[in-house]
Amino acid sequence: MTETATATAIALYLGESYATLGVFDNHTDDVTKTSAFIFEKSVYLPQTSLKNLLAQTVAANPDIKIESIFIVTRYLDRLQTFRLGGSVIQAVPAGFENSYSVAQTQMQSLAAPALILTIRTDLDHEALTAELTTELARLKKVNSEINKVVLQLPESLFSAKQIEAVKSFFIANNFKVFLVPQPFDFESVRRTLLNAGSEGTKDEILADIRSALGAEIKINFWVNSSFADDFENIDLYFSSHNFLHSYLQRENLTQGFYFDVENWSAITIATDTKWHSPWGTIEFTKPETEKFLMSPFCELTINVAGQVVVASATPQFEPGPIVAGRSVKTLILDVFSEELRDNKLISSLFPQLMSDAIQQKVNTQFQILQKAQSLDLTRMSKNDIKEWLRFAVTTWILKNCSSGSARILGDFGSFFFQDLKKNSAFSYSNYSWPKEIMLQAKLGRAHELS
Amino acid sequence: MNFHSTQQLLKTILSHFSSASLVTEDGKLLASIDCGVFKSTTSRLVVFQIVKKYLNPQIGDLFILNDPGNGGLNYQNVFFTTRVTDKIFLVFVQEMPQIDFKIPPTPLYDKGLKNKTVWPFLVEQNPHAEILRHFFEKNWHDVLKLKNLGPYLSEISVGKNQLAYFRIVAQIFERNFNTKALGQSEVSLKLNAADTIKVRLAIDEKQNQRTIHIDFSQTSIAGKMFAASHVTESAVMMAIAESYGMCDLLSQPLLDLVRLTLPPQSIVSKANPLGTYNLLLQKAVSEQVLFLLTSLAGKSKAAPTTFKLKPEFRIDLEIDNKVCGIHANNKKFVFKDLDYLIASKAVLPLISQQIDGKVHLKLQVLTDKPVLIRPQLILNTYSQEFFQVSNASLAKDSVTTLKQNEIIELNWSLVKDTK
Repeated sequence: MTETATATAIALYLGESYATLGVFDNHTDDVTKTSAFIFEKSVYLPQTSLKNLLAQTVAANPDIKIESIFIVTRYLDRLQTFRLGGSVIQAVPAGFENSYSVAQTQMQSLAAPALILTIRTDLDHEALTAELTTELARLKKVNSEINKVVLQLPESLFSAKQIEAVKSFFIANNFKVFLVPQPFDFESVRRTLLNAGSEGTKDEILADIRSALGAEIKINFWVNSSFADDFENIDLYFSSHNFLHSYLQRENLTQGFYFDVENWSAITIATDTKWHSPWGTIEFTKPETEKFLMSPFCELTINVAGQVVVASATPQFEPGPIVAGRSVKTLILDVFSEELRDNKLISSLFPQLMSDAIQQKVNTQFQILQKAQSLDLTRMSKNDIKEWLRFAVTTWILKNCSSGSARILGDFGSFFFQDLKKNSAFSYSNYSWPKEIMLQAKLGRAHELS
Repeated sequence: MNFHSTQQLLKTILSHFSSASLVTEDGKLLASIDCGVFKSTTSRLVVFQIVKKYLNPQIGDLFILNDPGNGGLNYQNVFFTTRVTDKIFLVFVQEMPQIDFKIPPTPLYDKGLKNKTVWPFLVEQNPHAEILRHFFEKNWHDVLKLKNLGPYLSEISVGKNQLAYFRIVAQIFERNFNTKALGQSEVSLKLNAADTIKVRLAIDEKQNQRTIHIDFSQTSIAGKMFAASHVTESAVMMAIAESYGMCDLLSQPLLDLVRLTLPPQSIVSKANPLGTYNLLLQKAVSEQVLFLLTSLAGKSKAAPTTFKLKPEFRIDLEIDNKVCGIHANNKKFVFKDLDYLIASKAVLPLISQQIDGKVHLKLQVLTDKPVLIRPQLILNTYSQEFFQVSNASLAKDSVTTLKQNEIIELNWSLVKDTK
């Protein structure tokens, strides 16, 4: 840190399993001037929390006053395997209990059925308040920590006074109220329930940031095509996709294939107006994306026929890959234990990578996996698995590429780009989240000044 | 290319389809995916044989057909056949509800161009021209995308590579076969007073020769309900593949080990000109075969002791040329496009609830356009209170037309997940 530096901002990428940040001077007027980070750090979130990362950043830069933080995230993606709404009351008219789920009953739940509050349409203010009081007492016995309510009260069934009375009642009882704009439109109901169900996670992120950087810190998330401090929680599910989409636009690309430590996916310049979420369809404009059929955090295991297969279970962030130092399960990431050592970001996420003991443990694990495969003709070594993965990714890219120019991005990009080098439709970039975030923050600031 | 790469490539090629097969020049099934409503692995092979024999597709050609008397399922399910390389063909099925007429084997694209005779007649003169144009062009586009895989496709076209792949698939199946029980069992299902499907399963291994024999010999002669043999066989094959953990490797070696006896002109072997009962008979046959396989496996706790068809229905709701499928079984209830119908004010929800696994839906028709209800699959055993139209039971075998302000009411029970 030099005395002249006026570092005032943090560029943070908050993934599902890792976070990487850079501290930079956001006051440079010339956005084309590439200023280096004053400080950079990356952590694997199951081992080091966001709060700790930020605290370590502050501690390492005692002379800097950080004024703002620019965040791109896909942290909320981890919620996609969960039922949401454990502390959310669903206030509905009789006959509309869990109405949002009827179109597809197998989707993940957005609200706990035990927290449904059926509201009668024929009550006056006094009777309504009395009933709400009784019902709230009952629901608090189900979950004493309920603090959010989603009001799905159609104006054709309730008067404006009744709706206002319900809203006031919950505000008076310290609830955060989420009003469904179109109560008969179930996509609108899902969107509102998702906003309510994600509120806790967003609050945790904000609390971690404020606790480390102070209550005055300006927090900006990438939403749609710019950084913003006011947004719906649903916007955070597409923060990283939208950021990559803006990158493709800026670079005049039609498609990007992104491969980092936790996410392998394709993103196009085109957009969808529907999100087929794990909780049901929601109207939401977002970039067209397609995930690769496996996550780098998927486990490699042996099936009944004695073949090595990728387990279909959800990504194993905790305890993570063997290279993270605590696991005995072999994940796809472990296949790349040698390659990962040369990657600055990944070697800082998994410092144990450098240890010979971990490399030996990984290799032993793959030898066990190899011996466990009972069919000689299909037996695969660690290297075979690596080549098979590269083949799978290469053919998937070729199958999914449309006309125009595409770029391979991310920490594994160079590995997967090897077989595509000769194809002029493809280029490769060593994408760095903090650098790209810093650039967009500066472009945004330049735009504001102009 | 080793086995894993070959398997991966086949998976990648078929990944954009729900019902598709890659077939070798001599008619061997290289790979199949069968995730659609109808099972059609064998039907696709029949279609391939017809198209190959009479039309001999070249690279850049695309042929279609939907004739249930010629390997098809019903008019709405269109079979596409194209030549991917000199030695490999792709046959896939896509549903298009707006097609309600028979299409014999027909060239749609010739050497990469729309067939000038067929296209105007089939697409441009159709009342749903725009929908059909988009449908056919999208499917052609999906075929063209395979070109990107050119050098890899060449490798799986090589005969010795295909043989090597089949050899390993056979070995994997052998292993899976050895983990399952041998023996015989049979089950009957009375569809109505006159129609009975009797299935006898025999799994045997003699002198290292494994066979799975499915015998329908004592099944009734076709009366009111019947389906073509390829329709029956497709359902049987998927049930066996599922039971032996071979869905991802469904290919010729598995087909070769299964022997089917289908009495001619029976319920399970007579082609239905409209494919009316294909869905019901596929459901019946596949559940019977799975029941027998589970019973033989001796999973005494998991296996049911008596056979009964699982609760299920499929009904299509057609509003203003948009077809919304309603499908439910004991695990799920799906009303495709319900959100759209409500948002577009075609219907108004009066009740929409799911409490303790019970789904109750009551909709009022708002649109002034006619709403058609087409039953696709309704079991005889239902009292029909489960689906009412203006307080009367839904006609099971015919199309019902609803007018503005009429009401549809559905009640369905799901089995609660005990996990």
